[in-house]
Amino acid sequence: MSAGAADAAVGLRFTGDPLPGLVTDVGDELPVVAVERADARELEDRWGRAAAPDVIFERRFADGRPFLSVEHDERAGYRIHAEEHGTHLVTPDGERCASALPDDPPWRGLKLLAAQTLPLISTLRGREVLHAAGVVVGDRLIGIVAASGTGKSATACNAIAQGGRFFADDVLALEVADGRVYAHPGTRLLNLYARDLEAIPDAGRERLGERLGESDKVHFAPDGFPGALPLSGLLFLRRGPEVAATAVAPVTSVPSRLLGNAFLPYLDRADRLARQLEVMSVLAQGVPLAELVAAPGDGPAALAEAMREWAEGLP
Amino acid sequence: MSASSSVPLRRVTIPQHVVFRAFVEETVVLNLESGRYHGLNPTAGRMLELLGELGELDAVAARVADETGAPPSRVADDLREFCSSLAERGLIEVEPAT
Repeated sequence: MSAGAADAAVGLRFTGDPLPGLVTDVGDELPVVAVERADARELEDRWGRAAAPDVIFERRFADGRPFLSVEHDERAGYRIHAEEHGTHLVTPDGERCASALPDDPPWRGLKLLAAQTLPLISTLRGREVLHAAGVVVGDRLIGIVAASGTGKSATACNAIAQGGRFFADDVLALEVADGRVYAHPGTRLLNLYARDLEAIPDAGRERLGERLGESDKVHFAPDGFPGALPLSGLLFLRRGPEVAATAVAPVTSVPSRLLGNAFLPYLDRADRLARQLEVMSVLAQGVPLAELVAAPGDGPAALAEAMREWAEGLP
Repeated sequence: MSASSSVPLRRVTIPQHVVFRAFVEETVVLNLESGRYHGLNPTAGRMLELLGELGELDAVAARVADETGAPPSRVADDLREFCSSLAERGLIEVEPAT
């Protein structure tokens, strides 16, 4: 294998043409995905010739124009497309990917790769993907689950600024091995609202990696983590207007909290759903779970501090 | 035995499109054909586990009564009711007693 090359993410190794945002994973053998970089029009021609697709996922701009779509065809596979962010064709088995990425700015193509294409391929190749950030605190990998826009990435960035290491921003690719749940490093992309970035001291900001640019968020390329880790704990972040102080509390309704945060719910083939149930069951039984309840007025720095204290107390 | 439990107990099978896993305080059953999830409390989860393992309802009832210390007739009644509920949801298939 290509030890030393930045060619891995979400539990897969990518060969052929290079993709941005990958990490140097020095761990065990990983399933291989063959990558071809191609022109967008060429991909559209291929998809048009080969496919009679169904749209299985779609996001639109406020004015109704389509922004992001995922199409599926039983024989041809998947087409992932987002306006100005690129197009990807993935074979049904996830063994090959043809990608057209915008050259500039660098974060734009990376966003679609990180948010849709690589998680989709990871799922097709037998991983289970959880909508969570991941930060290594000491030697423990902590996952952070939260509804979009409620502080998951900001908490993760503050934890990194306070000395943690980046593992994943939005998606944890999971697998069960030897009765434990392992997570694989995500794509090297961190997205953070400018107001949350401003609240991080300068010394902490340097730990977030190279600044790639900004859109509605500021984008960073952090250092990638060099391999899978057992998941040491999982925190569900919740704003708690009823609490006086930020605290870690027991979590309830565990199955629905876990299954409800599975990433890419539109991938609902029976084999995926069965594997998802298996992974979430092992996670529920073997990984410490808790709710991180944020008191009014407490920002991401306080949440990161509470997360660190909880992580350090784990067995 | 009670009058209701004198009805011959039957055998059940769990179809291939039904999977279930424990989640500490709950068992989640998933019908892969419908994509629907169902939650069971620990006792019901144990009953389903034994149904998959033993098949025969009378054997399951005896095991549950032994494990819980509950009266066998009450366990048998509860088990029959539970199986009816599972069958209505397509989560088990009921076979006549042989």
